This record gives sequence, structure tokens and C-alpha cells, in this order.
Amino acid sequence: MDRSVLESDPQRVIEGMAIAAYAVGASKGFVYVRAEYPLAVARLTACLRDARRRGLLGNNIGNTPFNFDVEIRLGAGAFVCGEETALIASIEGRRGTPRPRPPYPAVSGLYGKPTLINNVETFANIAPIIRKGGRWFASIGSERSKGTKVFAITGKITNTGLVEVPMGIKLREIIEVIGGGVPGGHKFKAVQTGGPSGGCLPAEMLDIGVSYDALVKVGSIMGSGGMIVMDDTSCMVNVARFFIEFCMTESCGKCIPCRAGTAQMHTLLTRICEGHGTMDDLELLVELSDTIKNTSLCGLGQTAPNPVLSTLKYFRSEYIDHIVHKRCPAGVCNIHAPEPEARAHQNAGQEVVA
Amino acid sequence: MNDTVDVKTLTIDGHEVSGRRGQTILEVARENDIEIPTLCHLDGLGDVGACRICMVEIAGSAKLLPACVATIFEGMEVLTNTERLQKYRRNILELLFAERNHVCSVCVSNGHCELQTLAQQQGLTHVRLPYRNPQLAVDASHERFTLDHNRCILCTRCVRVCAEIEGAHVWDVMGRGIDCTIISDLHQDWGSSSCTRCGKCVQVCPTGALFDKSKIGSDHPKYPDFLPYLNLMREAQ
Ligand SMILES: Cc1cc2nc3c(=O)[nH]c(=O)nc-3n(C[C@H](O)[C@H](O)[C@H](O)COP(=O)(O)O)c2cc1C
Ligand code: SF4
Ligand code: FES
Repeated sequence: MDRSVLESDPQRVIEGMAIAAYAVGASKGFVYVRAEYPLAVARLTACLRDARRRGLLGNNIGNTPFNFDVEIRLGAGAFVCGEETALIASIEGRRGTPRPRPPYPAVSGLYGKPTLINNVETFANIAPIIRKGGRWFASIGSERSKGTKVFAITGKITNTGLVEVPMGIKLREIIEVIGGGVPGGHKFKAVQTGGPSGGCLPAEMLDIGVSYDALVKVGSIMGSGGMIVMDDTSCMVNVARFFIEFCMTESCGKCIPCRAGTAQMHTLLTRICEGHGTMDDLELLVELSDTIKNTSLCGLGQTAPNPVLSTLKYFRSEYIDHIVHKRCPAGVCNIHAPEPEARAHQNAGQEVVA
Repeated sequence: MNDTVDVKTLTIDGHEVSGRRGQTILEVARENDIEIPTLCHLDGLGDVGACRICMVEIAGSAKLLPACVATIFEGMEVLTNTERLQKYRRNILELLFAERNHVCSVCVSNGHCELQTLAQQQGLTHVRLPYRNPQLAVDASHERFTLDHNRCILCTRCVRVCAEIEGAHVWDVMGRGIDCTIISDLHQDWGSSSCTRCGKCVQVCPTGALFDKSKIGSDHPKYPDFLPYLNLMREAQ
């Protein structure tokens, strides 16, 4: 979603940054973008060159004493480098690992200076708000979450792609009306919101309005605005394992609960997927989740257990099927797999790439 | 140092205490003989808040704070030893014991190990999680010291003492997540690295990961107490 903004309308982001810089008195801005998005980088570069030529960036912008310029920094594709303190470390040329907050970046950020750090979508919203006023922006959305939100819908859904919707819209409307529902005569099973560490919500939850607090209340997050739809061909235990695996490999390794905890959860989930799990393992999973959520240093660890906790809450019977009846209801898991590590990832993997 | 002392009063486990602005919860607790367990923290080194053993509860907040880096504020009510915290501490220690090889009976640091002591203090009696048993390297290329990655808990004390105190920055961390390891220079043998052979890293290592070759098989206590003294003498200069 942020990628598409950077590729299609980088001017809007730069304008938002310049306004924000003016507001806080900053003279230097950075755009941190993954090197894997070459088109975004090329268009941003062209946009910056253009803006400098027109005097919209640089010294004495618009013949005022205001100076501001933007530099692009390429990330090497570590998920954790999206965490603000890790991102700052990465820009400074250090290892991209988070550090405890406070001090927050607003007090001590890049090179120890007060730093404003925001998401691409946030900056993209600034210019229209300045032009049309805050009241206009606040008139869109729900009680506590204002404005619009871009979601990237993917998975088992007829219309995949990006949609911009007002906050507060029902999940059902996004999936059934905008997304056109689940194709191929299959049944909707779950939707995961917020990226790899979001929760998986069942059909009964589709009538909640999409807002930051409503999603947290049911065990998920708004996160990046990712939205993956799963149908009855997905095994929720396997899905949980897939997402924990992602968090495990993207963990920076600095703090113990996230580094070793996600790895242990992955081992336990693999055991369950292969039919070697026990009911005690479920309790261990819950206890580990609780520890990881509450003691991890940064948002990655603090949210990593969400897919496991939400599937345990809403799809518990699938775990029981694997453990007690040695059966994978969706027919995804290779129960009694002889060689634990030898298999490639199945459905969940394909869904995410799709 | 700025001496405009600004005193804050707070309670720690019900005891009324006070500290200066900017002090950490851990500093104030220890000044008042209230013990908060720590692992990555070491007096004399910069704190990283990485091990999460020192997490404490703050009344009125759902969020736990690491005592080694969180600073005090007026009216703060700190709880350092609730049942919930004890459980988390045991779980974190259990994760460490299952992560690599921490079989105390065959370790040079047996009896002098901070991880072992902490596990005993926190009542970690058994490990429920599957042992990962990674087969990690042992770097014995150095003339005087050995690094056994199987005992390393990635507290980064060695990294910090080498960079902050010795000024050599031989050690650093490589890799991500569960694959993280400590490396010397740009991942070369310790013996052929830019090591100054000062031995500070060995003294600050809480486990048997870094040890003196002359001590193999014998008693190997460590003496990290030189650090606060060294810092004090340097500041005085
Ligand atoms: C593990 C992790 C990954 C993140 N990745 C991103 C990212 O890719 N892009 C982004 O804008 N924010 C990311 N964030 C959130 C940022 O740290 C930061 O909170 C956010 O960008 C603040 O901007 P906002 O207040 O405008 O939303 C990530 C956070 C965490 C914990
Ligand atoms: S929660 Fe994970 S990613 Fe964040 S600091 Fe800890 S190990 Fe690193
Ligand atoms: S001692 Fe505070 S986090 Fe390690």
C-alpha cells in the first residue's frame, strides 16, 4: 500500500513531509524505502530532483527563510527496520535493532536529535487536510479512527488489490461487496488483518467496523493494512505456523522473548501440524504468547503471537483435530510426517505470495 | 554532570524511596537495597534493555517496563516481584536454557554462572520446552581465551565492554533472530582478530561462553567489579 503511493504519487508524500518539517522546524528529511522497490526509488528520485529544480525543496523555499531537503535511504529488506528506533539505527548506519523507548524519537531520534517519524500514508494525508481542513478529514471515518485507510486485499478473494475505504466500514462490506467474496464456490473461513502479526478473524467477526481499537479488541491489529482472505482450504494451525515462522525469521534477535520465544512457538506448532502435538503444548503456546507479548522489546515481538492466539480462540477445534484425532480438517497438513523439516510450506505460503 | 538535583519520590514494592531525575528504577531500587534481578545489565556498561529479566510493573499501566533503562517519575508506584513477573522471569530463563547448551555440570563456569544463579533464585526447576540443541562452533583460536557459542546468551556485555571501555570494538553480533551469534571483527577467528588481549570480555561474560584457557576444568570465577571502579577513575581524570 505504501509502495503504491510512493510509486504513483511521490509528490504527495514529499509535500506532506515538507509541511510537517515546516511545522516542527526540521530542515532535513529522510525517506527510508526498501531497495526491493526499485520503481518507488526511481520515481522518488525523479520527484525530488524535480522539486529541487522548482524551488519546492532546498534553501529559501518559496522565497521564505524555510530550508528543507529530503534524502532517500535504501533498506536491505529487514521487516524489523520498519520499527521506528530500528529504522533510525539503520539510517545511521548501525545494525537495525530496536532500542527501548523512552526516550522516544521525538525527544532523541536520528543522531540524537528530536525526530518526527511517520508512515507514508500519514504524510500522504497531510496536503489534503491542509487544503480542505481538519473538519473535512474528521467527517470521514468512525468515532475514534478518522479518515480513510488503504487495504491491500489478497488471498482467496475475487477482486484482489488495493482499496481505500472510510474508517469504520464493516469488514463484511470490504470482503463481500468490494472484494466480491470468496471465489470458486468455496466458503469464507478467516481474514487476517494487519500484516504477518495480525490476528485471524472468523466469519462471526465480519460485522465489526474497521478501526484501530475495534481490531485490537478482537485480537488483531490495523498494522500495515494488509488483508488476507482465507477459505475452507486453509488449515488455521498451518496458517498460524506460517506467520510465526515469518516473525521468527524476521526477529532481530536482540531480546530473548522474541528471539527464542518465536522459535519455540514455531517448534510447538510444527509438532502439532505433524500430529505429534499434545494438549499440554496448547497450554505452553498460550503461556509463551503471554510472555512474548508482554516482555518483548518492540512491536514485532509484542504482536508476533497474535496469529496463534486468535486461531486458538476462534479455531480451537482445528487444533484439537490435529492433536486428538490426528486429522487435518482442511487436508493441508501432512500428519505423521516422517521428516519434520523436509517439506516446503503449503497453502499458507502461497496465499501470502498471491 | 548537571547538578541541579531534582528529587523524585516514588514507591518500590510499597517502600517510599526517592531518587534524582534521570535515575533508572534499577539504580534507585539498588540504592535502597531492593533487589531486581538482571542479566544483560552490568554496572559500568551502557544498558540495552535486551534480556527483559528486569521487567517491573507500574501501577495504573498495563505495560511493563525494563527497570535497567526506565527512568523514575514523581509518584511512580513500582512493583518488582509480583507473581506475574516471577512467571515471566522463569519463562525467559527457560527459553534461554532451551535455546542453546546450558548443561551446568559440564561447564567451566559451574558454580560461578549468573544464568545458573538466576535460575536457582527464580525457582526454575525444570525445562518444559523442547531443547533446540544447536551444534554451534567453539572458537579456540585465541592464545589465551576460548569462545563457546553454545553457552552464549547474547547479552552483548562483551560487545559493550570491548567498544565502550577497551575502545577496540572487536565483538559484534551477526545474523538475525535465533541465528544471531557473536563475532570478532568481520567474522574471523578470534585469534587472528584485532583483539588487544585485555580479557575484559571474559570477566564480564555471565556464563561459560567466554573463558580463560588456563582455567579449563577448574574453578573459573569472574571479576566484573573492576568496571565501576575503572569508570570512576576515568571520570576523575
Ligand atoms: C516490526 C515493525 C515493522 C514496521 N514496519 C513498518 C513499515 O514497513 N512501514 C511503516 O510505515 N511503519 C512500520 N512500522 C510502524 C513504525 O514503527 C511507526 O510506528 C509508524 O510508521 C509511525 O507512523 P504513523 O504514526 O504515521 O503511523 C513497523 C513497526 C513494527 C513494530
Ligand atoms: S521484539 Fe523481536 S524484533 Fe523487537 S527487539 Fe525483540 S527480538 Fe528484536
Ligand atoms: S537487565 Fe534490564 S533488560 Fe536485561
